[in-house]
Amino acid sequence: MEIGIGILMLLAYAGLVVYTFKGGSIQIGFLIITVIYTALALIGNNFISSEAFLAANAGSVPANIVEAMTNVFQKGAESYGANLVNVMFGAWFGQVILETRIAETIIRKTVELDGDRPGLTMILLSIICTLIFSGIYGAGGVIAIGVIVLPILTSLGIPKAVALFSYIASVGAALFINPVQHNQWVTLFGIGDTYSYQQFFNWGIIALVIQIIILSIFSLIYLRKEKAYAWAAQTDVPSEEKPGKVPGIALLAPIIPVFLLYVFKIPVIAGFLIAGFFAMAVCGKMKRFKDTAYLFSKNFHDGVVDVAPFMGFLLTVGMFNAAAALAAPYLGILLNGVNLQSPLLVCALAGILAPLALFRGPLTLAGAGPATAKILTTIGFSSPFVLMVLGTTTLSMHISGCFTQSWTAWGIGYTKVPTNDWLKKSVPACWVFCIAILAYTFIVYGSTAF
Amino acid sequence: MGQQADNTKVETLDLDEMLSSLLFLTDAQWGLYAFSREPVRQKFSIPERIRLAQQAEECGRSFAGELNEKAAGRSMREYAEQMGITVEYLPIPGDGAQVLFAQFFPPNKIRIYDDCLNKAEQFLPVGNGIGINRREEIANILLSHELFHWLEEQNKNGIFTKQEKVQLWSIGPLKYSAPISCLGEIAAMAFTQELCGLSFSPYLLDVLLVYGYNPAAATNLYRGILRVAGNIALM
Ligand SMILES: [Zn+2]
Repeated sequence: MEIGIGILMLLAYAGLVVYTFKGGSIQIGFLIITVIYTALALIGNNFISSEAFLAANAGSVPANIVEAMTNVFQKGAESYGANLVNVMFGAWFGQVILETRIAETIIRKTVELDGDRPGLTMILLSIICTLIFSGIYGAGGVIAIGVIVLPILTSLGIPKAVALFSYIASVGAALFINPVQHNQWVTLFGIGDTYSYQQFFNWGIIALVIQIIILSIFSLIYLRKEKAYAWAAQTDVPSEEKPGKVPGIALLAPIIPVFLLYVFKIPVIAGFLIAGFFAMAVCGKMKRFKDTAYLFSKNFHDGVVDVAPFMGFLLTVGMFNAAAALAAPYLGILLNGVNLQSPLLVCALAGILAPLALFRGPLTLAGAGPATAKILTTIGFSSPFVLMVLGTTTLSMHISGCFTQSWTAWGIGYTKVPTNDWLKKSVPACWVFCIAILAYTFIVYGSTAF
Repeated sequence: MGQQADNTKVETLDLDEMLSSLLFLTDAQWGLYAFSREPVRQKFSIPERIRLAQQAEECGRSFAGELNEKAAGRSMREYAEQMGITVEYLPIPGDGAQVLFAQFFPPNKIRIYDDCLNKAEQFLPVGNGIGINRREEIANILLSHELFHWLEEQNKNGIFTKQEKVQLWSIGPLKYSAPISCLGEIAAMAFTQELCGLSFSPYLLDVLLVYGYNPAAATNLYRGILRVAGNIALM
């Protein structure tokens, strides 16, 4: 009879997938499936399951409703506490990099490396944006840097859809080595103690390079087809920026947290603080104690407000994770017969089905994907392997190519690129990113699949 | 983002009034406007921008003189077609993502988008200050501008707009210079003005053609042009 509970849980998962595809709020979607999983598990544990089943899964099948609610809603949400703190400091650091005009200066200097070849400038800018976003986190940073980068690219005659895609996909690539992203996913998989940032970085940096190379090739293809002199409508005249007072040394600030973490294992919040105050000091923002104190709290406020909706979503994912642990024994018997024990098959399926990461579908960890992850680990795949597989489809398809991502939605509104035009530019390239990175992951990490 | 949001709130000025006052701008002021969109503009002081713009204008005008002799009375369109250039008239660009007036695709295709012409015709008052009344005249201006880019590509190795370079960086003895892309635009405008015998810079069409789509955006653009033109006072 336990199998009946398992089937109902699978149906709930299918419902979540359909709901998110239709554009439902993923935050409430996860809350609802959490309640359903918890209720089904309690019903199973109290009324249906055999003694043998309960004994075999002792420890993960509470019969007591208070215990179940404690595990799911209290401890589940709390389990993301540490991660949210990282997100907050990442957002603060992003604000500092913007406020000091460091990001802006880096971008202007990059543009001045080449004045005449739009394709080369676009590729250089995508590399630079990838470096910047390897350290900072949050939609606010993506928007604030986007308003600098996108007008530069379009003023070089690059079509808006191409410019926007190059920018958004660079941000997606950067997250392959972003410490806050690492922290968030090891929390999701519950492997914070065993899967270090160094391990994540060693995998992710190659994925990042693969994505940037393929992105550059696609950018050049898109430009070759459309390269032209154009007399286009203008709606304003850019104002003359005063040369900033950002010293050269400050331009290193965005990559300091990643560098300190990778090389010296300095924890990321300390890294954010060191890099943030370094940036403020060398840019002359710490001349008076009162101003420093004000800026510190203002940037913290602005950064955290910016990531607040995202944090709300993460908290329901935390609850869902805990509910999925209650559900695991039931889903487990359902999957007993499933013979998906091949890392090659999983990588190939994820590659072929990668567009299911669009619209918050089952292949993105920022959508219905955490439920998919639970199913894969229940089958027996190791958490780091599932993290790499679904991490790829999340970053390379969803974050790089789908306008259900908050900052991509902003970019489409800002540039007024029609959404179908956007998908025509993004999806083919993103699909190639996914296939290439999954092939690499299988070849190098296939042996760690179990 | 702020700029774009403001477009909806900004008051709208009368088109003919704006065009008439833009007639008073000098070549140097239009040069500064052209430089305002140059990606490497920070490499140039205002006097340098004006000097380069002047040279680009001379370049454009001398090509116009040459072409006038060669074309000898034929219309621009006939001449272009004789030179093996395909001239297409489409309502709007295929991807629809951007409002474009005209494009030149190397090596030899020019496209004129006439949606903007229809709109301009609708708004341009009869007896206006700039003396342009027929859409064909505007189309001819767009065609001449793109024709200059064709000439630029033909004379890549000698023409001022491709040869004048700015040093962007150096590492020890290694130096890197690149052409200045707005010079081609400035020259194309001077070329067009000469060829079509206009009493004003064709840059003025930026305001006229945008007006048909969005009068508030055109007003905003007009104000921006006056703002950069005002930089001449800083000399
Ligand atoms: Zn042009």
